[in-house]
Amino acid sequence: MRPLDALLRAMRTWRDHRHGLDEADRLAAGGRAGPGSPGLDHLLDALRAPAAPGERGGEHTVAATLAAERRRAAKTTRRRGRTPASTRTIVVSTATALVVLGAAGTAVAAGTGHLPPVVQQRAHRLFSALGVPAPRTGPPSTAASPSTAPGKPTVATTRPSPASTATIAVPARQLAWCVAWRKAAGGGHPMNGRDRRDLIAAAGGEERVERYCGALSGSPAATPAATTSAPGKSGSHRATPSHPAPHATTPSHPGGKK
Amino acid sequence: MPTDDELAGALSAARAGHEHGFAVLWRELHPAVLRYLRVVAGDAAEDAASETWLQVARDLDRFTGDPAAFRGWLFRIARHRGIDELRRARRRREEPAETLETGTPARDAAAEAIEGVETAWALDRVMALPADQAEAVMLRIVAGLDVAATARVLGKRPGAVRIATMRGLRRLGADPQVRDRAGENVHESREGV
Repeated sequence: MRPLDALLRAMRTWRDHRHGLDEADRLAAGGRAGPGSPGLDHLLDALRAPAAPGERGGEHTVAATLAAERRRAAKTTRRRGRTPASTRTIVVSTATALVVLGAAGTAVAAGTGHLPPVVQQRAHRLFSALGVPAPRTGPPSTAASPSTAPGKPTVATTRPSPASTATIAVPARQLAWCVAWRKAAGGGHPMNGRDRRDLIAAAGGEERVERYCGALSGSPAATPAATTSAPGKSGSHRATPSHPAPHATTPSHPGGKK
Repeated sequence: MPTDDELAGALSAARAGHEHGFAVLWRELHPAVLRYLRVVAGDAAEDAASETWLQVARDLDRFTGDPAAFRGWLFRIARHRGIDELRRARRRREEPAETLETGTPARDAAAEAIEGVETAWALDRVMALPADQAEAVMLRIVAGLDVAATARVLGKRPGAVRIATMRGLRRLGADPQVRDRAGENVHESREGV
């Protein structure tokens, strides 16, 4: 009798367990938890709710930026016989600056209050992310580690060279600064301190930021005045050229992490 | 919601560098990416999402597969970027002199502005779960990945994913805030709020 009891208990536990797993699968597939778990349906509905305005804004800007990034990556992957970095810089920067400026016109316009603040933040985040790979002006390093998409076999592709990455990073980064600056000026999220210093340095002074951003976006500064900008730190007028060194962050690829 | 055919079309358009392809993918998948990253990376979710999409744009030529596979690939990238951003954000916090943001808004305020009040609240409850359960719940429920795809994203066995999802859902079902919230909401909607 003893072994039978144990077996029955084990089977019952197993059945409960199976039932729980099936129930979880059912909920994942969109099934309702029902009154047995009050609130759970409400929670799952909220998790799956349609996109909120803050999650879907800036679509055109984002799509344009991503498409430009895709084309840039395709170009640098295809071009294996390398032209001198300086030539490449001019060609790529001219081409991509047009694309980025076109796209970012919208982003900077967002800073004037035509879009909800969260959308501005989105644009800012996206553009600042664009500039993340550390620009280098020297010859491209040969240690261009080919990284693979996660789980995919290694394909012999060259990474986008750091030099050409830098060229797109500059206008995108500066536009991101301007978006963030105007957002802060409009009473929004305060600007990252380091970016703020870099922007002021690039513009040649705090009072010149508006004009600088206006010129960058190709539109006269029809923006809220900068007088209400984030408090403190108005000094640091570093006389850097208009290509200040961005933060030293490394290009990131998921393949290098596993 | 676009069909699989439309998504497949968007994928090849995006691969060729066409804007409308990215627009479709972004519209369809970004909310889920952002919500998943909110759970993985908290405040750094937006940065991580931007990084994710940029990497998708760069590496799309190396991806071959249907829209379902793309979802898995996307969330795998998102997970890596989320973990990276989280690490970076922690490092930044250790260098307070680097930022001006003394009065950063509370996490809830920022998230509520982006995801909406109820969704931000729900994500908060999920974040209260142990990390493996929280991620499994998000990938299964919000990202809509199947068990196998979730297992690949998390680097776990499918059985472990099913168990983590079950435990996460059970724990959420037992969460007093979750049980109370439903009642409050019924009350509010009756009052016409």
